[in-house]
This record gives sequence, structure tokens and C-alpha cells, in this order.
Amino acid sequence: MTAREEMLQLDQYQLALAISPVPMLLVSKTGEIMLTNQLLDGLFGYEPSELSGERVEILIPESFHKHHPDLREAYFRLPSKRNMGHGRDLNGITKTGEIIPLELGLDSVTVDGEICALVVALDIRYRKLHENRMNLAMDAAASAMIMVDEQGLIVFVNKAALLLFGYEETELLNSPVERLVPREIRHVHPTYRNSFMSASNARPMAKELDLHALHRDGHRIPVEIALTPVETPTQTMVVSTIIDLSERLEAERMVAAKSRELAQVNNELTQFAYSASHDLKAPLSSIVGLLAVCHEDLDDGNLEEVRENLQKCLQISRRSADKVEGVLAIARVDRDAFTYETVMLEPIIREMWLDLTGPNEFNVRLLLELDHADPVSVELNTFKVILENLLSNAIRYRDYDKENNDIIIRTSSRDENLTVAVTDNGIGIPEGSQHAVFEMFKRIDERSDDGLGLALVKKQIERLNGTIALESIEGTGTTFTITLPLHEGNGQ
Amino acid sequence: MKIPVVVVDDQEVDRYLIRRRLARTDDFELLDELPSGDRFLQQYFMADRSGRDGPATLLVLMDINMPGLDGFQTIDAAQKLISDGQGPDNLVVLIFTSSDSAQDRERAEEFPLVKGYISKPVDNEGISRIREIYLSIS
Repeated sequence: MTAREEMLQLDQYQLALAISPVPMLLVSKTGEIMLTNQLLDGLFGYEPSELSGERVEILIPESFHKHHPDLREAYFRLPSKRNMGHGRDLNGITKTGEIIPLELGLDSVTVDGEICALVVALDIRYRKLHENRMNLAMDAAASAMIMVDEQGLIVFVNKAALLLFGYEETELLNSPVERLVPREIRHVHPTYRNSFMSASNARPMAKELDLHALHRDGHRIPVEIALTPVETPTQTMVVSTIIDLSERLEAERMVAAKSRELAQVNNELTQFAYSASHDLKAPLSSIVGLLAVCHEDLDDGNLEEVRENLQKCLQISRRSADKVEGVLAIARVDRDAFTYETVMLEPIIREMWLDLTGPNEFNVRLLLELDHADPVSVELNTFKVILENLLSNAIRYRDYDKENNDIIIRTSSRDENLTVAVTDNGIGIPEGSQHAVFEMFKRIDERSDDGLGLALVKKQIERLNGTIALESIEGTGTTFTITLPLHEGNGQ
Repeated sequence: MKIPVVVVDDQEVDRYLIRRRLARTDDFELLDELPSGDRFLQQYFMADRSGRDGPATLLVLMDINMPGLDGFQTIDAAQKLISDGQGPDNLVVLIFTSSDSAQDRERAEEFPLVKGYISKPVDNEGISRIREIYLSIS
């Protein structure tokens, strides 16, 4: 190659650079700027040819000056056509000190017998601005979004996604998206990913399956994922929009539970309205009937009958008032505050027994088999209501055909629970009626009171998070077993 | 001929009231007052009644809400026994209750044996209705 040819070569490059539609420069192996075109001068804010002979580092932000010569040397050891920076953000600096994002293409050429680098510098300010805007928009989105490149590496993750998966941005960028995929399908995920890349239609992921994503702490998040291919200047990316279903599923569960509860309440209310129409109205119509009869008897001068019937009216009225009070007591149960007292059970039971039996006019014996740890912390009034109902039922349903009528109270305390079982050897409850004994207004036979006692007992026990169970054999006897959680005695 | 009546009601006072009402006219003969459906079935379906039933159709006033078998359960059992050939030949049942719930009225209509629905307390008008229903059927 002659010197003239070499000169011409440089001229040729000058011409080529001049007509290039993009900013270009030619840099020597030693880092000296040999040629620039006007577009490049303009991009960096220099006068035409002002850069010739300057060190190329003049175009590079100062923070990068230190490393650049080494990288430049490395390039010249193995010169090739490639992009500079490997996906990192590259910046240039203008004469006035403005930093501008660039995309740089490198090629090696021989000029004057020396290997030089031909550099194409693309101003990507607008692209960056656009990207930033997109990222801001995606960050503002409530749904988690992740952009993945063709290799399955995460190139963007928005704030919602970081929050959802529990990672820092730096942990996820450039790492395989499979990191967020549950272990059991992690090995097949790249296959799915590649097939999506080749088909590339926006679609929901695995629509018919229950999808899960993996949180950093290892817990699985139920999700719904929409996939959208996004064309970028260099490749097709995939944006995944990930919707966290945890709350929705939880809400669905709660709504389902709530509607079951409401259906139950509604059912109870219907039952209550029906029972009320019988049980609360019946005494009133009896009174109306009695008063009408009284009227007639007054006209007929039958005063003795009037007196008797008015007495009946009084009795029925009083019973009705008690019954209404009983219904209200049941209705109020849920609103009662918890008031625990620490007490010894035996004296309470004995006192209650005396109140119930009076000077022992019934031939009923009470046997105690107490095996609980005194003192216990119970809601004393509630406990009394419960036990009183169970005992008075046991007395009322005693079997007159048996020689001894015995009622046994057994207690035990275990696992933070107090268990009290009341067993009688009374007439028992027919199997067909056992399910109904706790229902409001349910009277099993003529001996039944107003049908409210066990309904109240059950409601109180449920309020205290306890349980009540019934075992009964007709002709043999009945056992009611209640279990109540014990408290620390400080009341809450 | 008087109308033979059986009252099935657990409330003593309600039995007393219907007794008084029926007694104000000469048209009825109160055969029995029974406190439960079980007792009614025992007395009119289980026991040997040969020679005890008169020729006239028996009128039964049946309360709904009773301990043990309620009115509907009692009527249901009675219908089954009748279709098995047991029990009185001629029977008219009237529901006799203080409830005016639509649910009870609808249920009452499901039983072929039930011919009417009488509200408590029964006044003179109620007695006329009982008589009318009975006469229109028997």
C-alpha cells in the first residue's frame, strides 16, 4: 500500500463519514480522534473538525475515564464489529458538559496501515426518554409487571412486582425469570417461554390452571398472568402482567363463608318468625278467648266463672311475659360482655340444687363426682344459667317408674377446658327428637316448659366458644356434656 | 242429630274455651278432649272401637303446635292408618290454631283429610263456619 493510497483512504473515510446519515468518528489505536463528521460534532456541541486530534476520552464522562483506555486496548487486541457496552447504559459528554445516552457501534478499519476504530454514535435520548416514560407508567401501575428478553432474563421489573415478590430491583434484573416460578414447573418453564416467543400473541398464561408465583421467602402466591409481546429496536420482549389473587381468593372465601352464615341466620330467623307466630301468639288468643267468655259470664251473672277465668288470664299473661323475657335473653346473648370470675364449683352447685329442689320435696338425689381443679375461672352467671337449665330438665324428666331418681354431675378440667357432664336416669329423649332439643320453642312432650331453656343454654355455650353434646337412651337416661374453655381469671 | 266432635289440643285453657263455645249451641256433642296427637291416634286408631262409632261423620278440631306429634304429623299418621283400613270410616279434620301463617295454611291444604282452617279463639262466627264446613261435606 503506497502513501498516496493511504492518504486517499483517509480521504475516502472523510467522504464516507460526511455523507453518513448518522454521527460517526474514527479513533486511532492510541485513542486519538482522527476524523469526525458534522453530525457527530453537532451531537457533542463542537465546531466542525474541532475534535480532530483530541483524545477520544474528551467525549466520555469523567467517571469512565479511568477504565476506558484499558477497554480500548482490549478491543484492539481482538477487533470486531460489535456493540459497545453489552446492554449497559452508555453515555457521552458534550462540550458543555451535558451527559447524553448513546448507543455505540464499533468496527475496525485500517487507515494509514494502522488499525483504527470506526465508531457510530446514536443519540438515544428520545428512546431513553420514551423508555423512562414507559417505566414510570409501569411503575405507576397497580399490577406487577415484568419484562423478559428473548433469553428469559428479566430486563425490567416494576415497583408493584418488587413488592409482590419481595425482591430488590438489582436482585432481579438480568436474572432468569424462572427465579419467580415455583420449583415443580421451573424445569419446563423455558420451553413454554420459548414457544410463546415464537408464537407471540398476547394471551393469558395457562388460563385453565391455578397459577402460582414464588415469593423470595419461598411462599407461593396465587396469580393470574397476562403475556404481551413487545417489539423493541433490538428484539422481542415479553411483558408479563401479574395479578395477585391472594386477596381476591381470600375475599371469595370470606364471601362464601359469610353467605353460608347469612343463609343460616336467615333460616333461623324464618324458623323464629314461624315459632313466634305460634308460641307468642297462642297465649294472646287464649286470653282473648277467655275475656270474651268472661264478658258472657258477666252478662249471665256467673261471677264465680268470671273470677276463675280472669285468674287464668293473669297466669297466662305472666307466663307470656316470662316467655318474652326468655326470648329476649336469648337474643341478647351475643351482646353480653365477658365477665369472668374465679370460683369454687362445688358450693355453687350445692346452692343451686337447694334453690331448685326446695326442702327436697322430690325424690331426686344429686351425686357429685367432681374431678376438676378448683378454683376455676368461669362466667359465673352464664355458668349458673346453663347448669340450672340442665338440672331442672333432669328433675322434670325423671322416671317415676324408677325407684331412685339420680342425677350425677361429673367434672374434669383438662387442656384448658372445663368439662361438666349432667347425667340422669330419667325417661330419656326419643332418638327422633334429639336433634330438635336445642331449637327455640321446641317442646318435646307435655313436660316441656316453654321450649327456650336449651336454646338459651346452647347459645350461651357457643358464645363462650364451648360445646354441648347430648347422649340419651329412651327409658335409660340422658347425659348432657358441656365443655367450656377456661380463662386465666383476669377477665377480658 | 248432633255433630260428634273431638278436640285435640295440648292447652287446657283452649280446650275449655272451645268446650264453652260448642256448648252455646245445641248442634254439637263433644265426645273427647285429648291433650296430644299421640293420644288421639291411640284412642281413635289403635284401640278397638267396634260398636263405639256412631253413624255420623266425626269432626276433629286439631291444634298444630303440640309437644310430641304436632297436628300435621298426627294427621299424616291418621291418613296412613286410614288408607291401611284402620280407624274411623268417616272423619273430617279442621285445623284449629292461633297461627295464621301462610306456611301453615298451605301445609294444611296438602292433606286430603283436612277440610278447613279455624283460627283461635273461636267466636260465634267461627262456630257457624265449623258447622257449615261439616254440613257441606258429610
